[in-house]
Amino acid sequence: MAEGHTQRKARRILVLGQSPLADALSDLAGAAGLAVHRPPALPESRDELDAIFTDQTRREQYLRHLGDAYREAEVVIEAEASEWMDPELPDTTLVLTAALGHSTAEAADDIHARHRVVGFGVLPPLEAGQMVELAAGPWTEPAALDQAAAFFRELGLETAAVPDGPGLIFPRILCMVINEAAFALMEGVASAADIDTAMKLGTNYPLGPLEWADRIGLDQVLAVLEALQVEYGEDKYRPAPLLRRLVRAGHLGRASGRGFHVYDSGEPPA
Amino acid sequence: MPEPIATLGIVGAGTMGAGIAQVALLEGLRVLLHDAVESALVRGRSRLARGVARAVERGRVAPDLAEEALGRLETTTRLAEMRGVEFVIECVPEDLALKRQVFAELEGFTAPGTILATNTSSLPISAIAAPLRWPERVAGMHFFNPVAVMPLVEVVAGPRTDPAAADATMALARRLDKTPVRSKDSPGFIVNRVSRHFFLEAQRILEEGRVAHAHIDQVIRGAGRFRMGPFELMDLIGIDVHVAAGKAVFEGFFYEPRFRPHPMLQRMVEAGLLGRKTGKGFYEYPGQDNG
Repeated sequence: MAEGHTQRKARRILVLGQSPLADALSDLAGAAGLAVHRPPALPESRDELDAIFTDQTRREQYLRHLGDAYREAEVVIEAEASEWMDPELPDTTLVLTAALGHSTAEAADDIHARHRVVGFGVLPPLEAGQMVELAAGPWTEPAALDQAAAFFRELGLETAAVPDGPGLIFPRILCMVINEAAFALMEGVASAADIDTAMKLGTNYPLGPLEWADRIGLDQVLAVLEALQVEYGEDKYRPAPLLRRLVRAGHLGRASGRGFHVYDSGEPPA
Repeated sequence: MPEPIATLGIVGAGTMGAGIAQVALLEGLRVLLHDAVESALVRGRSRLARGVARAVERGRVAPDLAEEALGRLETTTRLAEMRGVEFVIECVPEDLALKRQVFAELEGFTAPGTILATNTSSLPISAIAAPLRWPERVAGMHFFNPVAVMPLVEVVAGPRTDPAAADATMALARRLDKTPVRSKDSPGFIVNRVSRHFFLEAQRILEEGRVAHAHIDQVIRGAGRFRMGPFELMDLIGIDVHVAAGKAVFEGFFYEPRFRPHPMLQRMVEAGLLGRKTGKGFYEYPGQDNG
């Protein structure tokens, strides 16, 4: 910090994904003095990404599009339910994958340096001191877990080690609560506003489940439920049809102006 | 709008009945508190007097106003004294036959315009009201424990509830300085239904045997900013109470798999591990009464 001290180039991190979580983590990393790079656009789907990665010319084009940040990044964060990772990432990079729509193991399986992959779970809105769950995949080296914990601490967040699986602990539980709230709303048991009020005042939830979903992104919630349904093969994880319909309509929550609730268009949600 | 209620009748002087009476008295209403059992009435009266005294100690109520509030309380063991009351809240134990009997008697004493609310968390309003001559004046009014602290009231309208009766119930909840929400007569209403998964999913994670219950609680507090994790909260509620609520929702939805209770808790109930009140549940509570 002192004048004359060697000016170090800010360490680079790359944040992949367009979710509210990607936005929130980017903001925290920026505030912590890290150079945050976010590719302007990602392929439409994992299938398209796979097609790109299997074609050498397209792959090089894509990596150029991501820029030098990709190769130079100390940490690459896949901050949404979908998988965007380049299988050929250098093994010096720490790879953090949001274990939401998949487990850490599933994400790491595609990646060459799979010992460098750590799963994490946290949901927006983020605040200082909030806990991030960290999960090792079957191949994760202990040093990568330590680095992941140090990285999140640098962002002002705390960490706890948890077992791997889609949605880890908190996102899994919260997404099931949100799903039930969506079923209740769909069945006309109560209005969205009354469901949120009831859960905040009747059982001390910090946010109502539907407004929480609007902060997380409804597509992210749906991805967690679908991954749980596949993992366990049980009907109890069946996503509420209303949730699917809203995602299909592009009503993903606050960021898109509408989710379970409708937000004023034009101005960014507070 | 209907006339404001002058006297609130409360049937059942247990925890909920006494709690509602305390709130109503402090909000300026007259209260006629009934319990068929004289000793229960005495306990209820002293419970709510303690509650009022606590409100004074914490500076929330002036001593003279508290005295006035207690002066507005009348108690009775005779249900027929509900005759002149405009609004009755029934708070007897969660037993359909018992509640139906209370309502059948109340219907005989009270004017047809009197609203009969039931403070139930797990019984269908429709089933309680069905045998009555005027089922349209029955609404659900689900308070949360402790009533003096918890701001929510779920106001439940069954398929035959008159919308005006539901509106009057909403108005009374606001008069008691509570925040009412409207719910259809559906198992668990809003809170007991949606919150099932907070507990059930935590039990599923615990069952997989890879993480301890205390760690799950810690993550839920830290990651979700909940005041309590699911296991410590179940211990506080009482494992037996929690299991009964869970069964009611599961049965109410005709065994929908989403609500299937976990056998883990049933074993705890059978073993007498009921949470804080027995000194041991998921956690141990040294110094608590053991038995």
